[in-house]
Amino acid sequence: MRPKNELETVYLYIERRWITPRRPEIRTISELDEEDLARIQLIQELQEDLGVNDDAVPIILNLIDQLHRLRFEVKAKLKRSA
Amino acid sequence: MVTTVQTDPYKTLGVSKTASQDEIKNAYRSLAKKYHPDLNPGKKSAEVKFKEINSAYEQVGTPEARSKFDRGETEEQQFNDQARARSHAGHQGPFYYQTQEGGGRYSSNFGGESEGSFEDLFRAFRQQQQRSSQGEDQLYRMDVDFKDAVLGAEREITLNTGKKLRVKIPPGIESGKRLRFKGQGMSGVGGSPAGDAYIEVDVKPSPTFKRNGKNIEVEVPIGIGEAVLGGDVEVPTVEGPVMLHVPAGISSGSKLRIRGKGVPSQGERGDEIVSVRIVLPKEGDPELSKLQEAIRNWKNKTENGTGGSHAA
Repeated sequence: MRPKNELETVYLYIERRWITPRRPEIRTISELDEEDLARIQLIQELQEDLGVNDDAVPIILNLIDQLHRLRFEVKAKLKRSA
Repeated sequence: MVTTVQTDPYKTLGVSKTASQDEIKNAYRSLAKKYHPDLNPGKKSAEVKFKEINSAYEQVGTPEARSKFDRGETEEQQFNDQARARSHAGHQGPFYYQTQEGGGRYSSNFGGESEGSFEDLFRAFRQQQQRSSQGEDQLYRMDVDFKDAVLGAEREITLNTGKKLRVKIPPGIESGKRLRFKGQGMSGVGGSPAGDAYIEVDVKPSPTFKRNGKNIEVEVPIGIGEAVLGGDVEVPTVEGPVMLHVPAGISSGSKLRIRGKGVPSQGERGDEIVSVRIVLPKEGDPELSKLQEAIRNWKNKTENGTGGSHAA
């Protein structure tokens, strides 16, 4: 994140519901947790490095989240049946 | 967490040393698309590669960094790695997937009963697993007499497993039908259920009877006397012979019906259809000569007289 407009970016992402921080009000970056920060970084890499546009960002986030969930559940099931 | 890669960043990005800044950027982007760890979760090699690409891009991605690198100021660069990492677009902190591996907040939206749950997938997976460890099904063949197939029967057969099995043949069974005996196939692996045994029925054709759906067809020879005068003839049925009344003046090929002697089906029973075939005595049989004489007389009467036979 560019330091100048870090908070503005965070507010924009919250408004678009790309991130949903635990706390209802964010006044400083330090109030975000690791998950939020990694997600913000992913969004920025998608946009800046991978050339993803604003419309595609939520779609990609949704699919990535589904994939993570699937991996998590498969691992959990395998552990349980082992 | 800074990778001190000694390799040539141009090589890592797959561009020449004289490539334009735009070319470098494009090369970086296309490699990043391919190797971004969040697009390749669980693939450690992609993460390593992505870090290499990132590190290479940090070294030559901006005109300032690139001129430093080209001047050979690698030591300063490594020294400044951390500072630069913060000011530049290089990846810092954990990757997003790493925060979701233990079931993160964001990916949890897809768990449980909510939309997009993967329960359907797991159910299918479990069934598949169960099937693959389940014992194999076994197919047996069994010859059944025509009568037994119509009326039903009970048999005992010995399975490949050595077990004896009582087989109830249901009345009215047709050739090719399979009887299923759950759990009588090969045993399963590791506590999985055994397969099933199937017994395929092969109904042997009968020289007397022919099946036609619910009905049974038979052909019965009768003498010329019975055909002309009528009378009772013995007719075979699957339950033994019965007497059938043949009406006078029947022709060869005529069909008579015996109700309820056919094939049981759905609580009802079909009929036996009797086809009449008139059989004359053989040549040389004294019966034949008598018959010939009688017919000759009858013929003469009907040809000479004017309907005299009727008037008498």
